[in-house]
Amino acid sequence: MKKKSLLKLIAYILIIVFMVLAFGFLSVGSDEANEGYVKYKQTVRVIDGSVSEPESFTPFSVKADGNYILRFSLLPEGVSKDDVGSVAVDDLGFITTVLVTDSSGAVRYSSVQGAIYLDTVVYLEEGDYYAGFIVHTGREEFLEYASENFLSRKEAEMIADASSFDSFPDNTEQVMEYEFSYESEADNSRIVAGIVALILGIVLMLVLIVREILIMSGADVHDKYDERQKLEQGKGFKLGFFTLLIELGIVMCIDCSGLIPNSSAYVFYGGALFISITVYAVYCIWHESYFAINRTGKGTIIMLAVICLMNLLICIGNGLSGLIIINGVPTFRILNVYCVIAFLIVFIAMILKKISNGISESSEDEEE
Amino acid sequence: MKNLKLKAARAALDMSQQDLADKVGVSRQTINAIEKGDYNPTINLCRSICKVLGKTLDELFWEE
Repeated sequence: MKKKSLLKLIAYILIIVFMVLAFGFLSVGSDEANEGYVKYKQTVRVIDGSVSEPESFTPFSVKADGNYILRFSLLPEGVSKDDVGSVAVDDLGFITTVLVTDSSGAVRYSSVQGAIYLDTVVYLEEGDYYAGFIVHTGREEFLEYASENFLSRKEAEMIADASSFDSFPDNTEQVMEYEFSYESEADNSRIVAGIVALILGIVLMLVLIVREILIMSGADVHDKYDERQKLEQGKGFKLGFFTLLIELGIVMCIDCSGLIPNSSAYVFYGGALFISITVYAVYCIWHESYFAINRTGKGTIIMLAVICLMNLLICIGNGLSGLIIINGVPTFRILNVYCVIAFLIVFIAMILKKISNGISESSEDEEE
Repeated sequence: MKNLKLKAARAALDMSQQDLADKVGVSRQTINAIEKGDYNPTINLCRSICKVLGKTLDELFWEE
């Protein structure tokens, strides 16, 4: 027994070393990140009602289809992004149109702002694009440009009415700092996901190592299930397996039909996996075979609650950032939503079972 | 089919289902399921229960 535990210990340590090396290798050996950054100053100078250098466009390329995080910063020189929103910064007397166009000139993203620091996520195909800043110091000039290029006349008038063009007199100048950057959301997310996965993997291995050490020292850490519980778990596994088979059949039909284009594989196949796991868990809970007989279940419930809460916080963060569904298409972040729903169903099943047990125990007491 | 003999034998010793389960090494719900007739125990579990309750297999598990 001790020799077996020692071999397991060595195996777990080697797995940790392998994970760290694999992560490091993948990080170093990965392709150049799909991102770019441009920063320059532009002096906005109005002479006799006309803007000198009214517009500037920067070319950039994306290497793969996907969601890209675009960051724009339009700030007067010396102003930090924390000052955006103050009256003095907003009332510059001119507005700037931010545009992203593809190589054919089609507008892929547009926004009209005074001073702003903003992030947005846009789906872009592989190819060449231009990011542009166009300065408007006059209402009519803005209406003409906007309604011809990216807005309806009515929308342009609404923006023009909300903007101020009066406080920028002729023969004055304002130095603006324009910054534009883009990065592939997938690259960013992959690195973050990789780090999280690595940490979780190491934590799991450490837990297993501690478990083996406890076993070697003679502690009894195994979960004990009686024969009825093992039988019910087997039935639960079978139910979960066939549920997954049926779901995968349905999901593959939907995927092949193209009903939902550009959808992430995580959305459907991940959902099918979570449903089958939830079916197994709920079945075992209802048939009293989820918790071992030598466990109170408190530790498991606390762990489930922590995981559920972590995922809920992530969902709230992603939801507020608008990253769960982008351009009407669910992203891989939907997995966190599935996780929260699955865990909530498990908790509800536990509560309902407890209530059901309470009712049956009181009726048995009455019979006796 | 309910196992009333098991229930009676347990009650005669003033044992709760949890007490019997702890002594036999199974969960309370398993004892409950056996008494309700929802689960047929293996021969090993039957023998363990008989040993704890001081009865024979026939006395507790034979259908009359």
